[in-house]
Parts: sequence; structure tokens; C-alpha cells
Amino acid sequence: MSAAVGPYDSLQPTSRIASRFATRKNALRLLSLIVVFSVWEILGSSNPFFASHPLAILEAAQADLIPVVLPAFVTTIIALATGLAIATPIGVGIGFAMGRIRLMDVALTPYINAIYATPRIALIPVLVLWLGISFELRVTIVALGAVFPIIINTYAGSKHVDSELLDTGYSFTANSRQILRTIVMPSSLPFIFAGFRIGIGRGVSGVIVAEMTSALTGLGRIMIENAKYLQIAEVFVSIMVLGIFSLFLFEGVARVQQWLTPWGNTERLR
Amino acid sequence: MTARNPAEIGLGTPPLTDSPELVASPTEDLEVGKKPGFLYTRRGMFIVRLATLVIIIGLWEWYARGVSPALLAPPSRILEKGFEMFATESDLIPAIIQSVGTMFIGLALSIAVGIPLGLIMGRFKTAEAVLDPYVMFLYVLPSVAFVPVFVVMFGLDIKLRLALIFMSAAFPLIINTIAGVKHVDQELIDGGVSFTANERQITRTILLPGSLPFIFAGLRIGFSAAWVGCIVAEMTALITGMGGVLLEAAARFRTAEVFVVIFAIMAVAVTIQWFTARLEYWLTPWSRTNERV
Amino acid sequence: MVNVNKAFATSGGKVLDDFNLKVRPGEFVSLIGPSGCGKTTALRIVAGLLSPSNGKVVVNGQDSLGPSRDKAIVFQHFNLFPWRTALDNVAYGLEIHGMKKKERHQIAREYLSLVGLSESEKQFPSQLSGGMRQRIGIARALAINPKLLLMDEPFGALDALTREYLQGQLARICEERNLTTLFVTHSIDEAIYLSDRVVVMGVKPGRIIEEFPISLRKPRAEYNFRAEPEYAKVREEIWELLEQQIRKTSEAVAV
Repeated sequence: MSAAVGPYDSLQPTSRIASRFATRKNALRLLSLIVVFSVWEILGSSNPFFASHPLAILEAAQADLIPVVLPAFVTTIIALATGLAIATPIGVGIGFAMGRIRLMDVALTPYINAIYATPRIALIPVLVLWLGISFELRVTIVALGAVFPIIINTYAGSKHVDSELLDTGYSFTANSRQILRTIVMPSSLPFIFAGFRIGIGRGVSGVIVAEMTSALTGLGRIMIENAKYLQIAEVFVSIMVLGIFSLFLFEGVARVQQWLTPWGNTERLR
Repeated sequence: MTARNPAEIGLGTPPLTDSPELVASPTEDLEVGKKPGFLYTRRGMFIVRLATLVIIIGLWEWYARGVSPALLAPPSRILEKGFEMFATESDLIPAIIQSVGTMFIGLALSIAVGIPLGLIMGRFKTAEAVLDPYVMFLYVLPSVAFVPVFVVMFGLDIKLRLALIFMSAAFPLIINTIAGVKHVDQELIDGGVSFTANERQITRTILLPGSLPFIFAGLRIGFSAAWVGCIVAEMTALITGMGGVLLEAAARFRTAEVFVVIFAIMAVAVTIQWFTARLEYWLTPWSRTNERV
Repeated sequence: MVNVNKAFATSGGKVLDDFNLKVRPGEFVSLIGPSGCGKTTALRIVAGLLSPSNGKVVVNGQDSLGPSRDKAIVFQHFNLFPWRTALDNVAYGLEIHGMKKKERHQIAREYLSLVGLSESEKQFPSQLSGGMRQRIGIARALAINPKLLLMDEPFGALDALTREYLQGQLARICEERNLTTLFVTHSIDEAIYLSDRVVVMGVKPGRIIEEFPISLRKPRAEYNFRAEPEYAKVREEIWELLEQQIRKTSEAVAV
């Protein structure tokens, strides 16, 4: 049997990649972006209500992005990463404890809930009092923001492990440690990721708020400084950096999740 | 019993409230005929939680006494100040009314725009493709980033606060509504079509009830996000409302008062959670399982 | 060597009353009965996942009230771990028992090929069909070399064709290895096909009503056992008993 020639065989690799992106959906998205940005430019450059417009933003970016914005951004990221690195093991640990030990569950649930619901910015004045305006302050705010969703989601995942799967473990004479390691933990992994994703979001907003109010370092400070001098186009540069970074971060976490949990949903297969 | 796993959208899980009517029982009847343990009874749970609270307050009281009053106020003092602030002609009560009121207006706006938008985007792939980049971008962006921009656009008045509340609350609502609509089984929609239902009827009778659990998840998140947005607006741009009272007390190093306001803010937040949970329970009778807490 | 299972169980609502069952080594016993007769409860008590409020389980002369290495269960809904490959699922029991990776993978491979799934070794359950999943479930149970095999309506979640195929496979495996098996089902045909003895249970309260030894010769896959007169007779008797029981439950409801 001779090798059949398919429709894409003669294409170069780049064209093959291009054909993957050339979907109708993406075309619509691109069109929408072009239209909206054009309209924004037209309206924004003339009407003072619009704080800025794309061309001005690009100009500001050209001047500011590399010398000013990116270094500040790096400072912010370091605080973010540190806070997340602290919050994750603590959050997962407490979450598991609450999920598997009834006493912890009953005792802590309402208080965790209450603190989780409270806007963190209300705590900033007190935290500033305790920690001063410092790296520790920013890290603490990130950690406080991230730890609660991680706790809550880990709790939910570890509490509601499919009882049939637990029975299976018991039937093979697994002890509690083995049950935890071989059943509860893998089963909770998707939940932990969900919590982590939410935690990142809160961490980012936390560090920006902290930087805006304390105005010492980081992206938040740049934004506030720019705002003070009414350089709104510059503010938008920071906003764009923040937004694009967040998008990449979320997508990245989703990819890692896909890689670490290739089996999909952990609902019992029927 | 399967857990709700909206993990894909990052919706997170419902708040940790006890199911309103049912008392908890263990998920495994390890022994046929055994009574549920102490920690599963209403009374038992209440006692444990009260005890935890007492321990926390006790430790706090003890530690705070040994420390400068500007740094940490002991609960006894906070309580004292609390009575003062609520009883006398202080700014606190009007501030609460103002903050909560503003939040509700902003929330109403978010719902009025967010849910219909989510329904449309969920139902029509074209709408989704067109609006998707903005919604996603604004969803991941911390709403706080817009404060400087909004100050310029709206000035320092209520429009600023409403705008920020909207930015905080609308996007979780939209995203969850989209997820909810997509989650409605196509077969159910086909069923409606086969009964010659038009678009409006399908939306009303199939899409809306079908997506309600997700819409409620969005509402829960959006509601608390609205409160956060409100406080953020009050504490960053305008010094007004409860945020303003907090900042003023902090500026004067009146830490006990600061804590009073923190707890008041917390109280509103918790009430919001409780309220949305009850609302969901009332409005979705078909998903009430004998859910064991 | 006598494998004896004896259990009384009375619960708050009397799920099982005076359940007294003896299983001989190498024997294949089916438990059949209408819903609510407690057959799954009985199986779980024997398995050690439930405790009877009264009575005990004895295996080989020793009390065996909890899970043990001598018993293995195959579940109706497969209960495979979604995060483990087929191989790792089969190796699960061995892993819990402390066997080293190389050894247990070797044994797991043996049992995977026994059920005809050597090719699917690296796949996740979500990628496999229902029939394949249950075969893995069976391999997992057999891998620990149990003295007692417990099966809770293992083919109930499968389509009819797969079911028939797997029944044949199971009969072959049990006979080759002389496995002592306790098998819960609601299909009379399946019970007769597979068992040396069919135990019929009744409802309200759940208890054993009657036992039917099956003397059709084995292996029953190799001839049309349904054409034998004994088959029709036994089937008729069991069906009548069950019908009575079912009528009892629906009458109670109708009132």
C-alpha cells in the first residue's frame, strides 16, 4: 500500500502551526480586538472622560516599560512568589487536617470562613503597625490572601473523598496513613489546584493593594506615583503588564495541573 | 455522594456552612445501628466552636495586655469601644449604612449586566468569541489596579465606588454564568426545541434553572467581591464609609476602634455569605440532597 | 480445611436476621434476593467493611471481623483509582501489603494478562471501557492471592454482551484456581451459571430462605447448560421463591 498524501503534508511547519490558530473563533477575537481598540483610540484621544487611549499607552510603554515598570514588576513578583510558597504548604496542611479530623473541621470551619470573607485591605493598617512598611508586610498580605482558598479547597477535596474508594482501600487492609497517601491525597489534587488558582488571584491583588497603600516599592507604587502626576497612560502600561502576567500565570497553572493530574476528574468512574 | 467539583473554572467550593436543616452524620456507617458521635450533633458542634472561640479570645486577651495598646487591643477593650461606637452618636452607624447601601447598588448593577451577558456568551459562541478576551483579561486583573484610572474618570464620588464594585463583582458573575449555561445538557435544550420553544422560552425555562447552581456560585463570589471592592474604594481613594472610619481611627492610633470596624466589616461579610447560602437553598429545591456535612 | 463463614447480624432496623452461612473451600456460592434483602450488607460484613451487631465471621477456623489479606472484593462500580494506571491498580493490594515495586509489578503483569489486558498496562481507567475496568478490578482482587473472593454484583454495571463474556472468564478462572467465592447477584441465570450452590434470601427481615445445590456439570461454558432439565427446574423454584418475596415488598408499599 503506497503512502497516501494528506492535505497538509506539503505545508511547512510554521504553516501547520498557523492553521491551528486560524480558527473562526480566533478570527472573531482578533476582529473584536481591532475594532474595540480602534474605537477606543478615536474616542479616547478626543474625549476627556476616557482617561487614556491606546496610542498614548504605547508611547508611555516605549518610554517606561523596560526601565521603570519591569523592575518594579520583578519586585512585586518576588513578594508574590514568597507569599505563595509560604501559604501553600500551610494551607494544604490545615486543609487536610480539617478534612480528615472531625474535631478540626468542627472547631475551625466558621472562623476560617469568616476571615476568608473579610476584605484583607481592612487589615492593612494593623499589619503596617505590626510589620512596618517592608517586604514582610507584602509577603504576609499575599500569604493571608492565598492561604484561605487553599485551606478551604483542600478541605473540601479531602473531606469528600468517594467513600467507595475509601472502602476499597480498607478492603485491602490499608491503614490510615496508607489511606491518606494512596487515596485521599491523589483524590484531593484537583481541589488543591483550584484553591491554588484562586489563591494566586488573591495574592496578586493583595500585593498590589499593599504596594499602593504603602507606596514603597513594586508595581503598585509605580501605579500610584503615576496617578499622582496624572500620568494615566503610564498607569495603563502597568495595568497591561499585570493583566498579561495574570493570564499567563493562570494558563501556566492550568497546564501544570493537566500535567500532574492526567487522569481528569476524580469522580468515581462508572 | 460526589463532591461538587467545579474545579475546572476555578470557581472554588461553596463556603463552609452547615447545611441549614440537617444535622451532620458520618459518611460511613461503620457499624450498623451506631449512633453518630458527639461531634456530629448540633449541640456538640456548638460547644466545640464556642470553646475554640473562648480559647482564641482568652489567648488574645492575655497577650494583648502585655503589649502596647497601640499595637494590639485586647478583646475586652474592643468590646467596650464597640458599645461606645454603636451606642453614641459616632460616625460608625451612618458609615455602615452608606457602605452597605453603596455595595448593594453596585451589586445590582453587576447582576443586571453580568447575568444576561453571561447567558448570551454561554449560549452563543459568536458572542463568546467576541467578548471573551476582555472578560478574561478583566477577570484575572485585580480590580484594585483600576482605582487610579477611575479616579480620573469619575472623580471622587459615588460613581467611583460603584465602578470599582462593578469591576470586582461583575466578572466572576459573568464567568460563572457562562460555565453554568455550558453545563446545561444539550439534550435538555433539544427537548425544549422539540416542543417548539422559542429562544426566550428556552432561556427562561431551561437555561436559567439549569445554570442556577453555577450562577449562585458566581453570586456568592461576586457578592463578597463587591464588598471587598467597596471597602477598597473607601480606603484607597475616598476616605468615606466604613473604610474611612477605619482609616481615621488608624491614623489616630486608636487600635481598639480599628478592630471594632474590622469586626463590623467581617460581620457584614459573613452575613452576605449566610444570606447567599440560604437564598440558594430556597431557590433550588431540586438539588437538595440529604447532603451530609 | 474448612472455610466457614458464620454471621448473625441484627441491626437497628433489622437489616439481616439470623444470617447463617457456611462456605466450603473451593465452593462458589451465590447470594440472590430482591432489593433490600441485605445481600450486599451480608457481603460487606463478611468482607469486614461492616460490623454485625451480633455474631461473627470465621475464616479457616479463625475469627475474621475486619478486612484481612485473605479476602478480596470486586465491586459493582469497579472502584478503580482514577489516578493510577491499570498496572498500578492491579498492584494496589500488593503495595499496601508492603511488596517492593519490581516484584509487585511483575505479579500485577501476570494477573493483567490473565484477564487479557496486558496491552492496557499503562492506561488510565478513564481511557478504558466498562468491561475492561471490571477485568482490572478482578485482576486486582486476585493479585493478592486471597483465600476468599467476594463479589458484589460485579457485572451489574455492564451491558449484556460484556456481562456474558466476563461470566465465562470468571467461571474459567475460578475453576482453574479452585477459588472459594461468595457472589452477590440479582440474576438467577447468572447465579445458576456460575455457582455450586445458590442461596436465596428474603426481605423483611433479610434472611436466608433456602439453598439450592447446583449439580450441573462444569465447565458450563462448554455446553448448553440451559437445555438441561435440571436447569429449568431449579430456575423455576428459585423464581417462585423470589416472586413471593417481591410481592411481599410491593404489597407493603401499596398499603
